[in-house]
Amino acid sequence: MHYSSSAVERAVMELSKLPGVGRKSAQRMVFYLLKQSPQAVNDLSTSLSDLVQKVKFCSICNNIAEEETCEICRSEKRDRSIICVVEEANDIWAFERTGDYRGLYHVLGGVLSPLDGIGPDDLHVKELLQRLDDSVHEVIVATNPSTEGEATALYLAKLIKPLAIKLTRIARGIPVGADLEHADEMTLSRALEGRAEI
Amino acid sequence: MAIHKTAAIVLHSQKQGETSKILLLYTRQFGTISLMVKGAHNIKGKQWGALQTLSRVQLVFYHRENRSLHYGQQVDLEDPYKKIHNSLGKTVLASIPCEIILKAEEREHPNSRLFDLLQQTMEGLENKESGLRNIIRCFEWQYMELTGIKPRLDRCLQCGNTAIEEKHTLLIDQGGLACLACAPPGLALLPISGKALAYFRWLDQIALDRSDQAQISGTLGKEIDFLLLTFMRYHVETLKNLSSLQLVESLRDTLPKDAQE
Repeated sequence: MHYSSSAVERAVMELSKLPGVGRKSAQRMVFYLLKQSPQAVNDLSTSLSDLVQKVKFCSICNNIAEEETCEICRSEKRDRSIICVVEEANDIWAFERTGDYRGLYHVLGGVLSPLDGIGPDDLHVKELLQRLDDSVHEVIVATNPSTEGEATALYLAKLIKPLAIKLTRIARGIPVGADLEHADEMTLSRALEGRAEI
Repeated sequence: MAIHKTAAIVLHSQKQGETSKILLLYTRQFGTISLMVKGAHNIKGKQWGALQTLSRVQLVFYHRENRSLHYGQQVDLEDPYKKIHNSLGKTVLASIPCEIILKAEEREHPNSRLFDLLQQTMEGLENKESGLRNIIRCFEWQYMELTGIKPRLDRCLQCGNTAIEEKHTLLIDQGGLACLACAPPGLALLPISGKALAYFRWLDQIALDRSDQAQISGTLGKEIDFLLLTFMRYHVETLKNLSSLQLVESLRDTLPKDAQE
């Protein structure tokens, strides 16, 4: 479909590149924006251009930041002896929502995936190893409990264990509120492996 | 839209939107299929463990005629291949046959013998602790047989000589062996040692679950892998770049020796 305005055509084309957004949804968004006040549309536009101009990746942990290092790496209140290794920056925010973790993070930027051609050189593994000096006492591997996440955890274990640093893996198993009878054998087996004394 | 039930092995799994997953599975009845599983990311979902790559599942799905993406109705875990998932070397090796099937097999082209071969390979990796690379070599050899590209190694294609000599030549495009003296000039040739030839002839005679028993040196293993890959790549163009093999190479310092040789 061609629109009478090339600006509309371009906006539809750009929005339809977003994940989960098809051409029709993009068209609805554009017509919605056209009905908004110029100020509201400008605010949206500015926030998007700020993403390009202001957002960087932390030079220490690869988290999203607006300065050379992220807020968490700069904070004096964080426990610098623990590093939690996550796949992506949005996993950090999942941990931060719990309010239970006060250590630092390291974002790998993905996981080992043989079929997708993602190897160790595509991840921020070297940067993690460079951070593991005497001040670090524990590394928590918090990759997803998927095949690829487990493979990455096993790979990190091979690299970190010889450094005599305590290496832990987040517990895997039954989620809160789930029914045991519906759990598959792999999940139950992981839950048994990771059982804790009460 | 017909509903079907079939055994399957999950080859690849990818997030789709907030809650769904798209799985690529090799099924006994339909060959490779793409399947959309809605609600797969629901943390309380019953199908969580069954949607992981390198798992054997029982699948109930809606088959949409003339469409390449079908809808999963129920996925039950049959064998999670726990030991494969607990070992980096086994996980990476198990990815090799999965990638070969994904890249070389046409979508929805059933081959129950290939399904059985893949299942045996996964079970071999799950249950054995040594000779793991030999299990993958045996898969590759039997895969070439199933797809009709396995070279004839019983005699020289030119003179009919059946004796194993120290050195032979593999005629890649003619799919067979030639004595050094018989090798016609100007054809795609690969030298093959007597030991590699003996190994391939041995593979012809044994079942996959015994393939781990071969004792071969690192040098011979490299020659065998080179020959298998060169031959497969020559006949199946889509196998030119196998990421899983590149990963085995890049993890050389971390993988156990057994996963490499």
